[in-house]
Amino acid sequence: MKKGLLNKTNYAPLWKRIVAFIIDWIVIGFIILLPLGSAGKSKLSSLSETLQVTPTKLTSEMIIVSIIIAIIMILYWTILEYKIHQSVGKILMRLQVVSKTKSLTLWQCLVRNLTKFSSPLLFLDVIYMLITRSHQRFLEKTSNTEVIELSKHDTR
Amino acid sequence: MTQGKFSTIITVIVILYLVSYLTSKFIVEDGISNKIAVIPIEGTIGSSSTKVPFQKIDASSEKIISYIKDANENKYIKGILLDINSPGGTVVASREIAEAVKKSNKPVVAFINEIGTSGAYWIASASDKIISDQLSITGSIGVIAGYLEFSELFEKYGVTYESLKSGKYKDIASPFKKMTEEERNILQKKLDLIHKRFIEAVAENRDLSKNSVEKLATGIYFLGEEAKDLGLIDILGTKELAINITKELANISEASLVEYKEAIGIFDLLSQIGAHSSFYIGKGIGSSLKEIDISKNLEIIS
Repeated sequence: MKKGLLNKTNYAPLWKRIVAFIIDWIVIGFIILLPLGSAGKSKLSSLSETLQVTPTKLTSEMIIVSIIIAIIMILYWTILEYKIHQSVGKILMRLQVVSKTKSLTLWQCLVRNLTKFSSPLLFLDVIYMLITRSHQRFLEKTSNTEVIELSKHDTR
Repeated sequence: MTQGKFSTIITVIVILYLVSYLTSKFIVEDGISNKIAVIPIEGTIGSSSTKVPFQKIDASSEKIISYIKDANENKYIKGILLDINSPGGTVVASREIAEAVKKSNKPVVAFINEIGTSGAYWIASASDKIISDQLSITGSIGVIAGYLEFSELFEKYGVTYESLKSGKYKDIASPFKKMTEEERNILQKKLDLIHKRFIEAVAENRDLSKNSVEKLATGIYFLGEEAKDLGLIDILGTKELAINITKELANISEASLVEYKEAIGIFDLLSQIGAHSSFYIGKGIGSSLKEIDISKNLEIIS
């Protein structure tokens, strides 16, 4: 079988997907975004968090930080899923991203992760996942990809 | 997990971490990290625990002082702009804020919006520069004290006031009895002393002679353009000009504004609506009649 091509669908259980997402979120939040978080805390958030102060307007730094965080998050999932078809969370939960058509392309990986830059969009995507039987997100359907559960004997 | 996967994960994490790290460095060190703190002083000034009859304390001295302190401690804040729109407030709260302004290690500019009189002007006078509109109301250097006196109303309804006291003046300024001439003189002397301190503070802060401030300190207010001629303010202009002057004093060309104000959540909003209703319904004449703590009845306002 060509790598990444799905022959027999063994959809990933919802709970495993949620746990995988939480693990990835921890990796991103506590390792990758740590410097940005510290800078943001000392510069931008300290006022609003410690003294209940609201900035007059969204400062340019906040916009830059938000965009960088969004790009880093998308890049994390896109690169890992393109290169090894898994993220850290998916490896630990024994899940894998596969293409429904041919080998997984970078474009497919990018499209399937686009909603991760925005919490409301991701929320809608997850709602779609909850109401579908296969527990796949809308952008997974759009990008012709699926998340499957690896069998115990599968060493991938 | 194969070694290939492991090295891919580590590589991706390290690269993204570096991107994150370099971005944070850029944000911390770039020119746009300069900030000007805008601290609003709006409404009646007082300490949080102060109760002024028929007035609500809007500008708490504790909060404003904590904002000034925070702005001084925050290395990204280069200057402070006091956005004043207040008729004044209690003496101690105004003086405390003025002292905090004087102690600031960063340039402080006061912008007087519609009104900045009495205690609010005291605070403004402690700043490095005062800017106001030509029609703003400012000055009013004076002290006023007052209370409602109900003795005749009580008399009309056959209610008498019995006072048991161990000190001769313990019930001075009691709303239940007429003030004697002697008591009036005592209180007047205290007000004169506060007035004197107010004048001294303004004279020192504004680098004016005590005599010239005394002449202005009749309690009368001045329009911005009159105040400028009298040396009570420095420049006539808008808030934008005040921001630019703050930047100039801080030696920076670019800065973003950070406004210090209390965050209002939904529960605070509901509580405020409740508090306002209660204030106007309950804190009116009826509640004033119930006040028995004499010391709280006399409020000295600057």
